[in-house]
Amino acid sequence: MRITALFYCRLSAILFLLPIAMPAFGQGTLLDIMQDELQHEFEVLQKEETPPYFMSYSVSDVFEASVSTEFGVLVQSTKEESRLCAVEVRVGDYTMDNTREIRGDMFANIMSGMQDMKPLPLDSDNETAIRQALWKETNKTYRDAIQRYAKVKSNVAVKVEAEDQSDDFAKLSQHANSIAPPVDPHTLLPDLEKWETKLKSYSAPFLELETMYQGDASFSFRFERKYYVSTEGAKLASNRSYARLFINGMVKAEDGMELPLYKTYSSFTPDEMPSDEEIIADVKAMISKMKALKEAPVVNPYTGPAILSGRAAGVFFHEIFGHRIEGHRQKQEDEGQTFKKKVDQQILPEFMDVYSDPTQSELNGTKLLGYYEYDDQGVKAEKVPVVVDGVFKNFLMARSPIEGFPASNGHGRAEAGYKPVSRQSNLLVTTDKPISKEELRELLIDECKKQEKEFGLLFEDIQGGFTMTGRTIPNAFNVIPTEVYRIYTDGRPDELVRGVDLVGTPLVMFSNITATGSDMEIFNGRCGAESGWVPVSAASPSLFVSQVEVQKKSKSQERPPLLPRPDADASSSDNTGSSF
Amino acid sequence: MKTTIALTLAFALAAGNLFAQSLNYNAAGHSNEIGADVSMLTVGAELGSGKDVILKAMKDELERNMEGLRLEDLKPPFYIRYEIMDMRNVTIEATLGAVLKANDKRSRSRTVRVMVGSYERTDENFLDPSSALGMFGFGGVGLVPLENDYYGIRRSLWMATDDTYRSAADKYQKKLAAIEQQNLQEDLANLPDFSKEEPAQMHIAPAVVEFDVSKWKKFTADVSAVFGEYPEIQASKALLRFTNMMVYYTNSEGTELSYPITLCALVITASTQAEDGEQLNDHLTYYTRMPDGLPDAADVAADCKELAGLLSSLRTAPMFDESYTGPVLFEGQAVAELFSQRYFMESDGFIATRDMISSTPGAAMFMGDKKSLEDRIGKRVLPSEMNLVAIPKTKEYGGVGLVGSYEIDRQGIVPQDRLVVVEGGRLQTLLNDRTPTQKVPKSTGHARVGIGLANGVAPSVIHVEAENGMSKAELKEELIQAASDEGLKKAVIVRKIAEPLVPAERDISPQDLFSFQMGGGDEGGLEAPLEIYIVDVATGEETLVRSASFSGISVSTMRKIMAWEDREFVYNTMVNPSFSGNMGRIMKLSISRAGAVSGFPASFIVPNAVLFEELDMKREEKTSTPKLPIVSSPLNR
Repeated sequence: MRITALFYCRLSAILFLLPIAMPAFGQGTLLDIMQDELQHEFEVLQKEETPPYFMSYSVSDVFEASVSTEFGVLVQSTKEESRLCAVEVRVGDYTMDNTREIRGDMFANIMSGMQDMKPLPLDSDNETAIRQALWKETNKTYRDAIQRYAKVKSNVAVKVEAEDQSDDFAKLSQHANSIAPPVDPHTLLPDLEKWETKLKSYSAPFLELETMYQGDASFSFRFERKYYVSTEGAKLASNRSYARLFINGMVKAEDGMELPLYKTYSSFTPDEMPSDEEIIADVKAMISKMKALKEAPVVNPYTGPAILSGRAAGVFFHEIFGHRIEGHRQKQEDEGQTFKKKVDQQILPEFMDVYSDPTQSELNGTKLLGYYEYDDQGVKAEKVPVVVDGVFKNFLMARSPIEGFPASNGHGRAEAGYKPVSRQSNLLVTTDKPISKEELRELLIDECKKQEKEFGLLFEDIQGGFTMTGRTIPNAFNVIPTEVYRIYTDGRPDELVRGVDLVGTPLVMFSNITATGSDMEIFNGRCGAESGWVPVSAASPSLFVSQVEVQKKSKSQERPPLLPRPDADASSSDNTGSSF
Repeated sequence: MKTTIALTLAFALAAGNLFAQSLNYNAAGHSNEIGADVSMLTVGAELGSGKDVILKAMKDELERNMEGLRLEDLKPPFYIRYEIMDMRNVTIEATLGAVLKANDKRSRSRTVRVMVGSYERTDENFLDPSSALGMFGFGGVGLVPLENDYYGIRRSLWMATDDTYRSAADKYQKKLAAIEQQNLQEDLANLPDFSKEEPAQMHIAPAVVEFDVSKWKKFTADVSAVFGEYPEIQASKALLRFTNMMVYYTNSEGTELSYPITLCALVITASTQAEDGEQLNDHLTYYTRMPDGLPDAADVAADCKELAGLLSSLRTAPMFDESYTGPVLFEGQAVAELFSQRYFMESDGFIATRDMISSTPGAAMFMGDKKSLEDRIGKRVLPSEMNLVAIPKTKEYGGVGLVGSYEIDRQGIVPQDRLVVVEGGRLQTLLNDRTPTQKVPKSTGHARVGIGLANGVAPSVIHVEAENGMSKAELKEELIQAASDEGLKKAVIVRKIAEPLVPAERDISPQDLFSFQMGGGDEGGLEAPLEIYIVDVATGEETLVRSASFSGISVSTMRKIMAWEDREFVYNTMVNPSFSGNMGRIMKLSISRAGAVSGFPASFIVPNAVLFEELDMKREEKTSTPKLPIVSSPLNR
C-alpha cells in the first residue's frame, strides 16, 4: 500500500538542506573539473565486466536565506550557502538498467529513493579535493548500481511480466550545452536585516486580536546555480531563484476547532514582492476574516453544487490531477494510474484544456514559479498539452519512458541531492467558454433549486490536501478549504462557514464540472514529493461543479488555551516581585 | 516479516537522519555563513544580554501558569520548570585543505516540564505509547524569540505550558487508572516519582570568547591537508565546532539559574579499505572548554600523520584470529573508553534506571532494555583495590582541562565534590537525577546539559582510583606471563577503541541495517577496537592486526581485572547513555551520517593500563566487504 501525501509546503516545515558556506559562485572551471573527472571515470569503468552506459554529475550551489517572526518579534534569521553534488550511474542499457523498479522489494525501492547529497569544497581552487569527493561518490554509486542491476535482472526473471514493458531510460535527440552567466545571489538579497524589519511589521498587527494564538510572518529566498555534465555530452549551468513570503494566523473556535488562514506571496527575487502597505492591508483583512471565522457556523455533511474560485481550483488541479499525470507513477505497479487508460478519452468538458508549461515565466503580469529552461536531467523544458478539448493527451515525462510515451518532455525535476522524477511545473487550466462571476452564481442557484438545496457552496481558498494514488486503497482525495461560503437561493447574503473538507474521487469530480469562469487566478507554491521540494504554480479559472461532497473536518479536541495570551492578560501585570 | 523489520529500520534511519540533521543544522535561530571578510567573532556577550528580561519573563509566566492552569475535573500542575538555552555554534569543516563549511549559528530554544500530582506520584515514569515522545524529554521544545522581548518570550512559554499541562493532566489520570488495574510490586507502587531537593540560586556570567575565524579556518584546513599526502586514504575530514550557550532555568520550587556551557570539539576522521576490501576507520578527537585549549596546528598535524600512517599499515595488516580467550591489556584511550562504554553507555551500568509503570502490559515493549546495576549495590563489581568516584567540580587534572566538570546540574542540583560510586571494588550508589529508584532515592546531581540531541543522566568527571599499580614494563611482562601460563602463544594489547559518537567516514549499506535486526551485539559490548596488537609470547614482539571485535564484557570479567599501571591517563570524550540498544545504534548511526557533535562531554581519569586475566575476543563477523575502487584516487594520478 502506498499513500502519497502531497502538500503545499508551509515555510515552517523542516528544511532538508544542509547549509554550508561560501561557494565561489560562477567559477567557470567547476564544470571543466566535473566533465574531466566524469569522462575519466567513465572510460576506466568501461573495462569492467558490467560497465556503465551512462553517467552524470550534478552540482548545486545553493544560497538560502530565511527570516521568521511571530507577533512582531524576530524568531529566526538564517542565511546559508552550500555546494552539493549528486552522482548518477546507470549500468545495463537504455532498455533495462539498474534504476528499474524492483517489484515486491519495498526496502530496495525506498533505499534507492533516499536523498543522497555530498558536500563539495566551496572553493573551486582546490581541484584535488573536488575530484576526490566526486571520485569517492562515483565509486560508491557505481557499486550500488551493479548490485541493484543484479537484483533487477533476477526480479525480471522471477516475477510475472511487468504491465509496462517500456525502456528504463529515454534517449535524447539533442544534448544541452548551455552555460548561463553566473549570478551573485548576494546582489539579489543584499540586506537580510531589512527583511527582519519588514516581517516584524507584517506579523505585529496580529497582536490586535487577543484570541489569536498564532501570528507568524516568514520569508525565504533560495538561489541555486546548477551544474550538470553527462557522458552523453550535456554541459549545463543554469540559475534559478525563488522568493516566498508566508503569513499565517490561527484562532481556535470555542469548540476547539483550529481555524488557520494563510497568505503567500511568491516571486523570483525579493525585490519583486508587493509593497509593505499592500501586505499589511492583506494582514488586516486576514484578521477581520479570522474574527468572522471564529463566530462562523459549522457546516454539516453536504452534497450539492459548488463554485471553486480560480485559486481554489488551481490548488485542486495541482493536488488532485497534477500528481496523477506524473509519468513515472504510471509505471510503478502499486500505483492507481487513474489516467493511464484514459489517453485519448474525454475526462473534462470539451471547452477545457490543461497545459503544463515550464517555458512560461509570466501570466497576466504574475510570475509563474514553475518556470525553467532545462530540467534536472539536462533536458530542455517543453510545453506539454495534457488535456486538449477535454481529451486526455499526455503525461509529464522525465527520462523514464512509459508505454506509449517514450521520450522526456523536460519534466524531470528534483531538489538538490534527490533523484529527478517527473514533476509538475506550471499547470495551466484554460477554457474556451468563460462566463462571468454573476453568471456562475446564477448557475449555482439554479442548480441548487433543481436539486432542492437551500444553498450551494463557494470555495474561496484551499490550504492544500492529500490524495491517495495507490492501487490497494480508494483513489480518493481530501482537500482542506480555509475559506468557504454558503450561497443561499433565497437572496440572503453569503455566509462564511467553517469545518468542512472537500472529498471525492477525481474522475467523478471532473465529470461534474459544467462551467468555467472568465477569471484566471494563479497559485504559486512549493510542492513536495519523492524528489524533494520544487517550485510550481497552478492557474485556473473558477469552476462550477454540479455536485461536490463535503465531510466534517476532523477537529482538534483541544480547547482554546486555558490562559489568555500573556500580553492580553489583564490580571497578569508586568510585576517585578516574584513570589517564589 | 524480515522486510517489515528492515523497512522499519529504514524509516527509523530516515527519521533519525532528519533528527540528526535538525539538531545539527536547523536548530538555528540565526545563522550565517562566515564570509571571507569576517575575521573575528565575539561569541558569548549576546548570550548574556537577555538575562534580566529572559529570567523575568520566565518567572512571571511560570507564576501565572502555576496559579491559573486548571482543567475542570483534572488536577492542577504541582511543578513547572522552564529552561531556555541561548546558543551559538561556530562550525568549520575541511577536507584535503579545502573548506567545506564555515558557519555561525545562533538559536534560542526552550523546554517546558509540567508535572501533575505530587512528589509521591506524578504523571511521569509512566509509559503509554501515546506519550512516548515526552519520555525522551522533548516535551514543550520549541524556539524562543531571539529578541529580548518580554512578551514574545512569555508567549512562547505560554503555549508550550498549556500543551504540556494538558498532556500531563491527561497522563496522570491514565496512570492512576493503570495502577488501579494492575498488581504493582509494592516497592514500585510506593516509590516516590520525584525527589524533594533544596531550591538553588546560581548566576554565572556568560563566557565571552574572541573567536579568530581566519585563524581557525586556516587551522582546520591545514590539519585536513595532511591526508593529501596519503593517496591510500579514501576519505578524510576535519570538523571544528565551538559551542557556547547560556542556560536559563526557573522552576516553581524557586530555583533560578543562569550559567554558561562551552565546548570546543575538533574531530578528525579518516577511512580507507584493506586490500581485501574491509573498511577501516579511525579518528582523532580533541575536546576542550575553549578554542584556545586546543593543541597547536603542528601538533594536530603530527597526530594526523600518525593516524594516516597507522591506517595505511592497517591496510596490509593481518586479520585477528577467529577467536581468542586469554589475557588482554588495555592501554591509554582504550582504558578510558572501556570504563566509559562499559559502565556509562550500555546496560548493567552505573546510571540509575527507573522501572516504569506501563499503561498496558503490551506497552512495556516500548520500554528500553536498559537496566542498571542497582541490584549489585553493596557487592563487588571491580577489583577490591579500586574506587570509582565522580568528581564533577574538578576542572583540571594533571594539567588537562576536564570537559565533564560543572558547578550545578540541569535540574539545579549542586553535586557533591566527591561522590563515591565504587569503594574497595564494592558498588555504593549510582549516578541519578531527581527520579528516585529503590536504592538511589535522591539526586546525585548528574542530570547533565548536553550538546545537541542529549537529555538525561550522564557521567561527569569519573576517576578510577587504583592502588598498587605497576610499571608499564612490568604489566607487559605480566601479560606475557599470564598468556604463557594458559599455554597461549599470543597475547593481545588494545590501544584504541572507537568513540561511540564520532561520525565515521564510512558508507552505510542496507546490510548494515540488517545487522541491527540480528540483535546488534552482545550485552556489555564495546565499540570496535581501532588499534590492536598481537604480542608474541616468546619474543614480546608486537604486530598490528585488524578486524577484531569484543565479545560482551560481563561484570564478573570487570571484577577480574588483575593488574594496572601506576600512572594515570586523563581523557575527555562525549557520551550518551540514552543511546543504548538497537534504537540507540540507529541514532548513533544517524548522528554519524549527519556529522554532528552531540552528547554529553565527560572526562575520565583512569589507570594508564589495565590487564584482564581473561577476555573473549573474536574476528569481526562480516558476510561481505565492499570491493576496492576501480578508478585510482585523484591523489594517485
